[in-house]
Amino acid sequence: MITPLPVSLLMLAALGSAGGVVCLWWSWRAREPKPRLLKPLGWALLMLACLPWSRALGVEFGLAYALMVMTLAAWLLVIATAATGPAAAPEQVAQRLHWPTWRSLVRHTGLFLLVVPVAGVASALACVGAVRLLPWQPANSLTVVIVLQPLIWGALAYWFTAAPRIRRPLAASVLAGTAGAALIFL
Amino acid sequence: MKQLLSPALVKQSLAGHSWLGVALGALMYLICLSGTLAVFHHEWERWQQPDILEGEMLAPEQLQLAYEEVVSRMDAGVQMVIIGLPVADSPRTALVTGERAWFANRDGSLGAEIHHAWAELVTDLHVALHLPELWGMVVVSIFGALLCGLIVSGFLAHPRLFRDAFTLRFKGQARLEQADLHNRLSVWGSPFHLMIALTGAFFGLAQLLAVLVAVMFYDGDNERLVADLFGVPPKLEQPLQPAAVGRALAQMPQIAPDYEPFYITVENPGKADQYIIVGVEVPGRLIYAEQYRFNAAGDYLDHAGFSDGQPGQQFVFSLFRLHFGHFGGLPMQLLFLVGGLALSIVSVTGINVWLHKRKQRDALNHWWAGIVWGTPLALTLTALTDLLLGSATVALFWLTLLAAAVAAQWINDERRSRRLLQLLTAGLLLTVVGVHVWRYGVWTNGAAMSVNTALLVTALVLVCWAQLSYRRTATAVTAADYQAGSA
Repeated sequence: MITPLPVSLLMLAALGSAGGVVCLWWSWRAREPKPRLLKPLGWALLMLACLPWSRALGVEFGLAYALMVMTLAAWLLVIATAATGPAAAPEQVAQRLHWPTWRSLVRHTGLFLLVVPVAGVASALACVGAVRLLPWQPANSLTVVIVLQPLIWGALAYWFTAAPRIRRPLAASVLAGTAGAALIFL
Repeated sequence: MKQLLSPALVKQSLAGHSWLGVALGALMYLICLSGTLAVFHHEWERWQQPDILEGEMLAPEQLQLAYEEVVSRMDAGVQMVIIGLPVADSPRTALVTGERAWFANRDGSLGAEIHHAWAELVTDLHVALHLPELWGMVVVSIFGALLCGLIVSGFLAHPRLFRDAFTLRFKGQARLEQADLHNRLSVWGSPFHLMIALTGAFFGLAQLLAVLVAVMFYDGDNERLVADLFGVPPKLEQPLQPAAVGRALAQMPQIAPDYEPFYITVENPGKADQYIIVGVEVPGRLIYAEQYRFNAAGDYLDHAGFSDGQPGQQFVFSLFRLHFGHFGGLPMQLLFLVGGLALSIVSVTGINVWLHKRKQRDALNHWWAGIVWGTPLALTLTALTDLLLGSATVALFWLTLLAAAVAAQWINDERRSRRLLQLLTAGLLLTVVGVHVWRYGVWTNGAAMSVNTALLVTALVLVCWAQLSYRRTATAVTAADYQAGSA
């Protein structure tokens, strides 16, 4: 059954989202002393716009539209206010390709193994183990795992690649993974 | 933000962000670009076979005839028959059994076989990178998890991300242009990118995580976990007969008057325990479908409860529509098109920034230009071969990509190779539209005409981009040559 969309509510919502971004942009480009209220007003408008979006389309669709329209409005503003000019001459020197050394290959392969299998297994064990502590139905716990595991994996991958020495992230991964495995299998 | 992050942390985060970005960038670009196209997979399918009858739902009697015809042609051992019912963005009745699929005619007879080779090539690239499906889905999901890492490291590596939230400089050094574009698209698109990363990680990793969850909560019995999520299949022992799909569908206006059925599945067709599922779209909800179950005679049994079950169940059933933008109508699809293109551009500009930061230019620059602009070329070429020869092969896609990288190296000038590939793609797009119009005519269905228009616009954009970008950078290169000559 198709119900007509409340156009006026949708226009209000779109204006709120776009208006919020414009306020943020205005506050960003204003010279010192910057108007104090513009930035909070911008964020407030972005939040408030979620209400008419949700009222018009339901909470799930409404929040999705609120986020996507905010993103689109910001990108349009960025493009519309872009500084344009001639391109500068390239500074790089053309050379033959230098193939990586064995040492470098071993280092990167090692890092890959830490970032993908090690961080992946550690995050999976840690997240699944952690949800055992939640007093929830298994189906709901699975949801937490689904959201949390990629985030933890990504964070561990970042830690492995950013840390000057891998001892700390490796120790944290092994500890978290072992604790998770103990909760799952024991 | 700047005060919160120490220079050392920023430097380390940038190193981590670069490593992850360079490691993932090329395949991430393929996944994102093909995913952007996959948002419109119904439209591509209607474009690929525009001569199929479109219209209203078949009458229950005709639907029953079509189903029974499919059962008579079904291979042994098939575990499910799927009937796609006509809906707004795909107003066709399609019946799928095993590897074979047909459209239904209005009188209930089976019409043309379904042939969506190119649309499937694009979807398979996105879902599994053309690897064997199970492994490919896991690999692609790993990219989703690592995209989370890229988002985290991106925020920590760029302390001026919010201060420069609206800065875009299309002038001066190419590195700054690319960095500005990368950072602006990333920072504003981060909610969308994070959602894509998390939901994308689900499809392949959920099966692996479910094994661990089953060990913990169900003594390793995966079937109990599946039953908790998807419901327990009805236990039936019935006389052997064709499932009464028409009768089941005919009852839907009484059972769920506000919901529109969009598919029917028959589980274990032709067996004593077969049953029918009618899937309906729930307005305003992200869940893929609510399911109503019937026995083989078409008597109503119960509904699965995805729309009013456990929050976890509802969440899991919302991930598909959320990932592919199949909710909220065409405006949301268009927003996903923009968001998906932006994520593709973020993948490309990330590598561009890394390439520009190096002191030298070498084969990597050429190969990268070949991959970036060879991908749309390869996709267009496979679409053309599908239109002309009825075949869009994975090998042709990857060989074209390889050829583009080799050609870019041979040309030895990124600007020229980029322009050549852009113009070639534009030319092929025009050819694709020309062949489509020649085969099917101009006035086909709304989706096919929209796709043809979009392809023409894309060709025009590519020609303008090729010319303007080449001229702009040519001026800079000439100035550099002049300075080098003077020196």
